[in-house]
Parts: sequence; C-alpha cells; structure tokens
Amino acid sequence: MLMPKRVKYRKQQRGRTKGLAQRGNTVTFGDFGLMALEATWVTSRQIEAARRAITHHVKRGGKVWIRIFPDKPITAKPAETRMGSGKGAVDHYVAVVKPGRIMFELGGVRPEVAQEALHRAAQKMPIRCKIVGRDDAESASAESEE
Amino acid sequence: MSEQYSLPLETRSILGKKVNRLRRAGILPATVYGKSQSPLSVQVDARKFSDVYRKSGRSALVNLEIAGHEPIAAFVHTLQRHPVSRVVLHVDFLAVDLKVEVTVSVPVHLVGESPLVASNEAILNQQLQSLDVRALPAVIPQSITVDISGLTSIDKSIHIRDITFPEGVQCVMNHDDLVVGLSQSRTATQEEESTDAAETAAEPELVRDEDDGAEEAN
Repeated sequence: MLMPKRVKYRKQQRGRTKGLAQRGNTVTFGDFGLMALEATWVTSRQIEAARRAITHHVKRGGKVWIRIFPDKPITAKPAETRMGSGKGAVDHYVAVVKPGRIMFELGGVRPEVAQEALHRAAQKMPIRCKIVGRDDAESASAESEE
Repeated sequence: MSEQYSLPLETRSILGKKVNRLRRAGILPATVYGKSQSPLSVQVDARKFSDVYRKSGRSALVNLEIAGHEPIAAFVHTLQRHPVSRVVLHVDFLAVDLKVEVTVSVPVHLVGESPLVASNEAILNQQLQSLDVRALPAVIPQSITVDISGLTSIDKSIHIRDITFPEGVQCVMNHDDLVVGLSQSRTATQEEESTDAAETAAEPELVRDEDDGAEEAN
C-alpha cells in the first residue's frame, strides 16, 4: 500500500477540506480519468482496492496512473481506551481529495474497457465520482472525423 | 495549412466579478491581446464559441469579428475551465501578425495501428500529445499526423526527428524527444504480485532522525 517513505513530523492535525481542486483537475497522462465529485479523505487501502479493480478488469495491456498520494497520517486510539494521555498512534495514511480532482487515469485500452474499469474503481471510493476524458478530446475527435 | 474560422465578438463593459452574470446568460467573457494589439475585453456567445473551438482547437486561426474594429486573426491561447463541470469560464485569444512567425502547440494525431498493439503484446505509449511548432500563422497545420503502423517490434519508437513536417513549419522542441513508443504489456497477475511484496512496508522514518544521524557522524 502507498505511504510516505520519510516524513518531517510523525502526526498531523486534521485540517479542513474547503473549495475545489485547483490542481490535478485535468486528464494529463491517460485517455480517461476518474474525477472526485465530493471532498473526502481517501485511504491507502481504498486507493489500492481501486487500483486492483482497474488492473483486474483490464487484464492485459493498458497503463494506470494514480494521481493522488496518501501523505496525511491519521491517528487512532486503541479500542476501549480512556480518553486522555495524548494523541493516539498513527493508524493509516490518507490522501486529501477535493471536488474536481482526477484520482486515477487509464490509457492504452479501448474506451468501453476503460469506462468499465474506472466504474469498478469508483465503487471502491468513499465518494461519488465521474469518468472523464481529455478536455482536448472534443476538438481532436472532430479533426479525426474530418 | 489549417482552415480559418470566424467568430463574432462584442466588446465587453462588464468587468471583474460581475462577469458571472454574463456566464449565467450564456455569454462567455474573453480577452484579445497580442504583440500589436492592446488588451481588449470582449464577450462571445458560449454556444458559438464551443462550436468553433470544437473544429479549430488551439492550432487554427480564428477571425475575430468585433463591431467597430478591423477583423483580428487570432489563436485560442488559454481556456479557463471549471474544475468539476469542465465548462469553459474564460477564453484568451492571442492576436497574431500574419507576416510574423509564431510558435503554436499543435496536437499529434496518430494514424494506423501497430501489429503488436493489435495483438495485445505491447502498449502504445504516447509521450507527447502536442508539439510546439514555429511557422507563419497561415501555414500552421491543425494537427500533425504520425503513422504508427511501422512500430512492428518492441524496440521501435518514433522521435520528433522521424516526423516530416509540412513545408515552412519547424519544430522548436528537442528533436531527440520521444513521441510514441511501445512497452511490454504486463498481465494483471504480475502487477498484483509486484505490489503484494511492498505491502509490508515499515513506518516512515523521520527526517529529523536522519539529520541527527548525519550530525553525529560528523
């Protein structure tokens, strides 16, 4: 599963997730992408589950790009522990995702295969998602039709 | 040489945050600027713009017809889109002098099919989606066609130096840059196995500990 190799501080504060994704909101590497429509924390387990869903459906060929990285440590106290005595231990890592963020990209496969693979990945996500193509695909397809 | 398109524009008096009213009314705020053109705030019917942009892209000249002004030849330079809906929010038109060479990013259009990709033995890796070319505005091609049917073995690739550009058009990028290549296709099981090993990763180390270790060594 994805997690940072080295960190400056072991624990972080929770923070707020406001606004829309101002970066990472365009399909850049592949032909199709999975866009987040809500703000959430995506855990490294969810990312791995989605990646497996994509590669399992694509079977051979294709290339997957994971555009988010879980770099935020989330702490948790053990079960049945009394409150107090400091912040809990690091439990897992999450990626902070805002609406508009392209989380996964897929290229090198037929459009119907890519859409089904990303639909399966969306089922592993804790939020509503949308499958999007490249922004410039409209003009490119018009050119190829001509 | 690419086709020319025309787009009727109006000068815009609503500036700043009030342009949201225009967007709600289906009007797209835009700006025209260039070397010999002082910045001009304009507006365009959003539907008409999308019709023209779908055909022209960013590499075809668009004739901007503004009431009270001479027609301006321009390229669609920058589009601002909404992060979620991807609706166009604002357009920058770059006015050009037809007698002066300009550098424009032209999309790469792949034709043909590699036999290895067709048989699922390899994956097509398109490294460059567009190429920066320099030419007179009137001769800039709308797209650059690259034939990939010659990619018959995994070690074959197409670099910028392998592409023949139309007369009067030169690429300003490094000619050794890879445009399209092939890579070995992997099975899903191979990928899953490769990450299973990485699952038992230890906790991340602290940067401070590393620095302390380095200081002690000194």
